Amino acid sequence: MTHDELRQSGLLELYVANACTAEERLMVERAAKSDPQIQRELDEIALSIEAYAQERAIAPPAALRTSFLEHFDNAVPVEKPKTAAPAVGRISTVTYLRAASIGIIIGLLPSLYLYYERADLVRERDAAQTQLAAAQERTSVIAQRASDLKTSFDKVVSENFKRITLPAVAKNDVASATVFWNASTKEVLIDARNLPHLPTANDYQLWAIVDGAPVDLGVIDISNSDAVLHAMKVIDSPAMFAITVEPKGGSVSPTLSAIKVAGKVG
Amino acid sequence: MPEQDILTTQRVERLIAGDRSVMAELYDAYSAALFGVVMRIVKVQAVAEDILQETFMRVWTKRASYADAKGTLFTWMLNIARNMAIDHLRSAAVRTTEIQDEASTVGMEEVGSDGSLMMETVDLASFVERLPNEQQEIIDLVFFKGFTHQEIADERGIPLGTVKSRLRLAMNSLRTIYGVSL
Repeated sequence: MTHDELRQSGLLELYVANACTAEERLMVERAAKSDPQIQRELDEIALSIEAYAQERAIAPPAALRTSFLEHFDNAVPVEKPKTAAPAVGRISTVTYLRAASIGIIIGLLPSLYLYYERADLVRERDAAQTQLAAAQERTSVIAQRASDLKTSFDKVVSENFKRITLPAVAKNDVASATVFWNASTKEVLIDARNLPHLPTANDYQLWAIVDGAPVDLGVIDISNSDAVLHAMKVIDSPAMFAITVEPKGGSVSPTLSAIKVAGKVG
Repeated sequence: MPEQDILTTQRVERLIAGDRSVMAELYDAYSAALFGVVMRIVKVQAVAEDILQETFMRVWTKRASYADAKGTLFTWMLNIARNMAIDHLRSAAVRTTEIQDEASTVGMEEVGSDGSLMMETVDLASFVERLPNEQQEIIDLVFFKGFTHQEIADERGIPLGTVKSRLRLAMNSLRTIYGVSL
């Protein structure tokens, strides 16, 4: 802005009225310092305003003058003018210290802001990483399960696996299980999803009857509800499969009174 | 500090030096002009009296800051008085409608709708006759009420450029009227 533009801008008037921004204030002061014409313009505006205000003056009540001077005398203790100067100095020092401390605080604000913002970002990043890790774990579990299901499916549909249904021994019991036995590899798989849950003190145990004698094929781990088929011990030539309820961990020989389901290999 | 007459310059020196006797002189020289400004803002005499008294108290307590104010003694005092009056209005939460009020108040108090003068003082008549109403109003808004150009433009719905040119014209009129030319 040239000085002529500055004069036309109305900024000088605002400056005198103390109604401009700090930035505009600086600009005007710089201009006034370098250009006596600007300073003169400012002075003329100020003097015009003073004359204008004097012309529009409203005399306050006469009693207010007495009241003010009394108030002033009470509020400001009498002291010699010479000692007044150091007093001003003290006030200034305090003022400067206060201004300086406020300045420091204001100066620190951006750093504090950045510090807290950074702390927020770090928290968000950590949370995101945790979520990502959890998602990756879920993904790998699901992939493993899909792989297991595919393996089970492949086995079940292959011609080598024989399907043996094991209905409940007791009347009106809807429990059942399905055994898949591979005659060539002798593998045994069991689908135990239709067996009811057991007390924690018990396990289901699978037996094969070979030549009229029970052979232990292992405890069925039904705690993993995701698994459809459980791989059991291999068996050569079973005539029958049976599942008993045994104490936790299984038994060496079956508790015959506790046969849940049983089925002949057809 | 700007050029001021010798009497004012001496008063400034005494004020800054902490000479309390200068306060009665300052009161006598400026109280009526400042009271006129404050009264036009707060419009309640008792409030204006309190603000005027407090203005002179601050002139004393803030005297060290005058050196940095870079204005005339009067405009420095004017800004103190005006800011206090505006603060009062703000605290009374009536500031938002101030310009609208101003439009009707100035118009009704000082110049009737038919343009006839409703004089506050006899002296004022000669002045008002010489300064167009809209110029008088904009000087009041800027210098005595502390509005920015933008606030006036927004509230009045007139372009910013018009505000500036009107203020400029008003100031030129003032300087002509008072023959202020340094």
